[in-house]
Amino acid sequence: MDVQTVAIRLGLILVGLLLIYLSAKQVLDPLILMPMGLAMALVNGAVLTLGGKLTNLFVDPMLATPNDVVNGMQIFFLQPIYNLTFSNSLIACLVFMGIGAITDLDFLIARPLMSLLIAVAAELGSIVTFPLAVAFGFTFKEAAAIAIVGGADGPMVLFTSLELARDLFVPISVVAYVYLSITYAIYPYMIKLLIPKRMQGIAMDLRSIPKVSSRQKLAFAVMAGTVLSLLFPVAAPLFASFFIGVMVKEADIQRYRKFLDEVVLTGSSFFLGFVLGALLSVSVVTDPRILLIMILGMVALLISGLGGLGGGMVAYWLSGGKTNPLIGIAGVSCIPTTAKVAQKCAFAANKRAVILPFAMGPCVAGVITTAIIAGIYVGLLR
Amino acid sequence: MNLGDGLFHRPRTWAGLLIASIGIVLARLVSPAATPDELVSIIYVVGVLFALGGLALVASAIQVRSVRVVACPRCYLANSAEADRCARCDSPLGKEGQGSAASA
Repeated sequence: MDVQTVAIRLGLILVGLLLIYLSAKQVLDPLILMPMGLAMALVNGAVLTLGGKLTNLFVDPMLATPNDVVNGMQIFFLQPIYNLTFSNSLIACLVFMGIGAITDLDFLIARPLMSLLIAVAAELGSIVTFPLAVAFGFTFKEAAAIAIVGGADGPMVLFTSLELARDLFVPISVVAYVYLSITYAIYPYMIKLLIPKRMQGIAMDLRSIPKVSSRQKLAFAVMAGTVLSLLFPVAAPLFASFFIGVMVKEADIQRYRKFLDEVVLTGSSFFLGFVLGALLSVSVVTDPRILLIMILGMVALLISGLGGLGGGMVAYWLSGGKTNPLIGIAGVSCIPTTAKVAQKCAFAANKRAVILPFAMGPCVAGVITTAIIAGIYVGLLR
Repeated sequence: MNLGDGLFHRPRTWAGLLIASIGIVLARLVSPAATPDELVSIIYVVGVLFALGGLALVASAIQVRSVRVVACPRCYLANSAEADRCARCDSPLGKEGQGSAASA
């Protein structure tokens, strides 16, 4: 019995319990982190004194040959979910379908240039972190997988890390999802530090809200999905998943919409957190690169936040002071969390400032630009 | 059959699709991963920008109408201007609940 291994597993159990506690208190996002915390605690508790760093009674990510995979599926209860949904990025696509089914394109279509300007600025972290990661000794593929954390889009992080850096998929994904859930707590401090309170409280004109007919949104979704898939074929599964969700919403197919929102999105988020927690073993935690991944992931998200706020300031100046620059933080596409962060901070500065509807344009544009950056990375480096 | 509520009857839509198609052809003709020299990279980037610009042009052809709304002070949902209570959380939408057009 390796004392160091037992100690690390005890630490993982405590971290798992901490994640459950913080999720229950709503400090962290409970949707992903509560099942993740439980899986971490239970898996590491079950194998606490068993030998070998890779031992896991729930799932074995190292099975490679077809025979081993089939045998493993009959032994480990999470193995079918891992091999049939994680290895082929299906789970990332399922989450994206659900996101598409709850996404509103009105503001993106009404103000495409402003939304895209902010979204591109908010991708700064995804771009700048790449050379930083290379400088720290990661390969180009690993650096790209880490840099995408700056896009603040869970499915994109999963997709890119599975395509480019399968060995680092677990630590990158766990770091990304933990950080994404704490952006809600960190970004407000960034906003208070960088944006004057007068600007935080700018109330945008809510007397009229742009509305686009469902048929036009449906037609646009088909055209956009086709163009983007032709442009970035490696990211076509993600674009297809997102826009099929949008199509179902705009075509008003209620049964499919409810299915994608209530079953697919909920189920895939649940198993995503649970399997990631089960995969967080001693071998992952003792990888010497995990500390660097944690630092680079935080750097990527912070730089993206700075870029988004910069884009928001440009929008403020271009509009003659009518646009609240806080909508820039919504360009960091953790949909709809960052849009809610923008609203929360605006409301704190001015009780009459309601900017959430306007923030959704850059938020949705951010999803698309992150998919484009992921498509470029995977297309160039795979 | 009115596809896209007349979107395909507008010249800007077809202009946008044409520009996007040119961009796709440019981007797909060259493969930066295969022959990564400067000219190929420039053509690829230009193609991507053309395609995205074409999509933006299509988006600008979409007819957008304005609807009057009142924002809920609790859940921020944009309710119809005639509503007294929020459709989602049932909070009252009095004067306090209206988003002001004036700057802070």
